[in-house]
Amino acid sequence: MAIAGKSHGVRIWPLAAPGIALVSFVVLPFLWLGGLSFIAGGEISLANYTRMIENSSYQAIILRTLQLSAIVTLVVIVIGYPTAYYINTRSRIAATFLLGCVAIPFWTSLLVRTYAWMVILQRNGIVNGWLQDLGLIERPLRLSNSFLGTSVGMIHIMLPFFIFPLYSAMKQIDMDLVRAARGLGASRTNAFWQIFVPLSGPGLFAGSLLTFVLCLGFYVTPQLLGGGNVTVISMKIQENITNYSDWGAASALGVVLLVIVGVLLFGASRLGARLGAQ
Amino acid sequence: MPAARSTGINGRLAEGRDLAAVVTISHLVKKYGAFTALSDVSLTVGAGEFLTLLGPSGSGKTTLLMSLAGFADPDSGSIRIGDREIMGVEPHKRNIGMVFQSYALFPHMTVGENVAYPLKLRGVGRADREDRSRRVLSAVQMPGYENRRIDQLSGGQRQRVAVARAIVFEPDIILMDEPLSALDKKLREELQIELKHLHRRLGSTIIYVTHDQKEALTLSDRIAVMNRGQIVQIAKPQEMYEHPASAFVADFIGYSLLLPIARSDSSSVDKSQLGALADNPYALLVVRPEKLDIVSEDHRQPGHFYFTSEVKDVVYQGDIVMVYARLKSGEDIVVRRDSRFATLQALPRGGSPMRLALHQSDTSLVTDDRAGVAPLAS
Ligand SMILES: Nc1ncnc2c1ncn2[C@@H]1O[C@H](COP(=O)(O)OP(=O)(O)OP(=O)(O)O)[C@@H](O)[C@H]1O
Ligand SMILES: [Mg+2]
Repeated sequence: MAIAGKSHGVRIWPLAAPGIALVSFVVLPFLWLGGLSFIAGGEISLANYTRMIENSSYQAIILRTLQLSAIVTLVVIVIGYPTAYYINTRSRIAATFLLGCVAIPFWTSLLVRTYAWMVILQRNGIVNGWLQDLGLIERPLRLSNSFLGTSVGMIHIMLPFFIFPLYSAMKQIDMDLVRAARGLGASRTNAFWQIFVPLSGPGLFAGSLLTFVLCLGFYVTPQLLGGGNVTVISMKIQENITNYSDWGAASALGVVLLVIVGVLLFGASRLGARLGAQ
Repeated sequence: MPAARSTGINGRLAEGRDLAAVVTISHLVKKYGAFTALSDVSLTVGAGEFLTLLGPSGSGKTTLLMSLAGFADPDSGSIRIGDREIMGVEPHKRNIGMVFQSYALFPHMTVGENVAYPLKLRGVGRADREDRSRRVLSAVQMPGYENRRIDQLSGGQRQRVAVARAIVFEPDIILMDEPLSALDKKLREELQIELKHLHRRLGSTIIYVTHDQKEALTLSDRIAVMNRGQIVQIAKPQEMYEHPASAFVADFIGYSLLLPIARSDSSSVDKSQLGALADNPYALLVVRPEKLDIVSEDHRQPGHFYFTSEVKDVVYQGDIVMVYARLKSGEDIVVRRDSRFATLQALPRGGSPMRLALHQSDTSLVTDDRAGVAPLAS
């Protein structure tokens, strides 16, 4: 046992490096951020938080952020689930190609894609042009500089984040289970909803959570495609710092965002454990 | 097979043995691209029959089963259950129970929910559903397991649940694709006996796939041996073992030495007692180790083949002893003996000559279908 004890002592040192990194890059900044949020006007106070409760514009911003994230996540599920399902039913070569197609925008800069959407959705952009040519609308719709435009841009950006984990979860599903259900008397539809969908649950859950959490922190897309009409938490943080140099207020918003994500992840892990134990 | 059968567990009477064909497969062809997985397979399975498909890997057993279940789409031919043509009918409308090799139990459902699932799909009420699942679970020796999760079950228990789920809705036929292959030998043998009893009690028609020839011999009413997408012989187990129709079957079921009878010189094989029995140049004599007798030099009785050999090795294996010898003509031959003291004492030693006798009822002549030799003209 002496040898084991010695090697234990030797082996612990390499772990020190990630430990130090974790403390210096995660724990310390977090404590600093938390600390800053309790400083208003050079004094320790709760002003940054009470303002959020008293000032309804803050609540509106937080709600808007949640609403935008929820809508984007929902649409991403509606588009992404059938896409992942379709890719999963294809042969290996076809699936690789299709996954490549999903991945291409993933590797393209977020800024470039957002600008591309601005061009597409603008007043006299392609979409409005088509709709007018088809005679569906008389005057151009307000697609950019709006909640709609922001959602479209974010959905496009988020789809790969959803499709990849979901697809890899679907790939794990033993298709004999679906076949077994069919043999036992389940129609194609029944087998899909009663067997395939529940089995893809963990992937669906992980993908949705990832999408929602990433949406909460979006900045560039709402800024550019929202055209000032869509204010989310990250934009308010930026405003507090660049316009007012109010690090306290910005930190407090950061803490709120962090708490929302924390609560979500905690709830999700509890739910996941419950479902897993079922 | 006993003529009278008891009441099925779901209250269905399965009295007597209905000899009407339940499954009639005719001229079934299934191709995967240029590869023919099933070439012109015809097969009839009687009501209440336990039929086993046996064959080497890739011979098309699973493909045939999948065609029956509706998961493979044959190119031509016909499959009828009773009077009903089921080619092109969707799997869920075929009323066939299936046990997969991997069991395919739904991990997000309890044991009870798994078993009740086919009943739920058929609109059976909750109370009735639970009652029937409970009865079927006791029938497969799993009473009281309704609320267990699938991942809490052992391999043998999963196999039982899979069987329960396949029989609970009283399907016309039950298909099983190597349901015991994932289990260890002892459990496998236990479950073979259980399956056999269950089949007796239910009187259901079972089509079973295995590549374990012993399992096939133990369980089946009839065995269909498949090779390269074709059924090469269908027979009762004993008939199949004792009188294989071809060298392939003789080789596949049990161990046998296949001796080219016409070509073997008279110094090693004494055919004098057999008259003109098949001097066919393509015929092979099936010699099974346990059918050989070690006899004295002057032993000479009608209906026997005699072999002159030299003992190479005697290998003790606990319950049996294998005597490895070489015929004068060069072929290796194996004799199987029991391991009783008296038998062991009488065994010849390595290097000594050994005369062997084989009664003609314990052997058969088969055509050599293994390497493209011309068939035996009969
Ligand atoms: N989907 C498929 N595409 C192409 N070839 C296939 C497909 N399914 C089966 N085959 C081929 O058909 C042949 C028969 O396969 P099958 O699974 O029926 O064999 P098997 O007798 O069940 O073998 P095993 O004992 O290994 O399970 C094999 O050569 C296999 O490669
Ligand atoms: Mg198979």
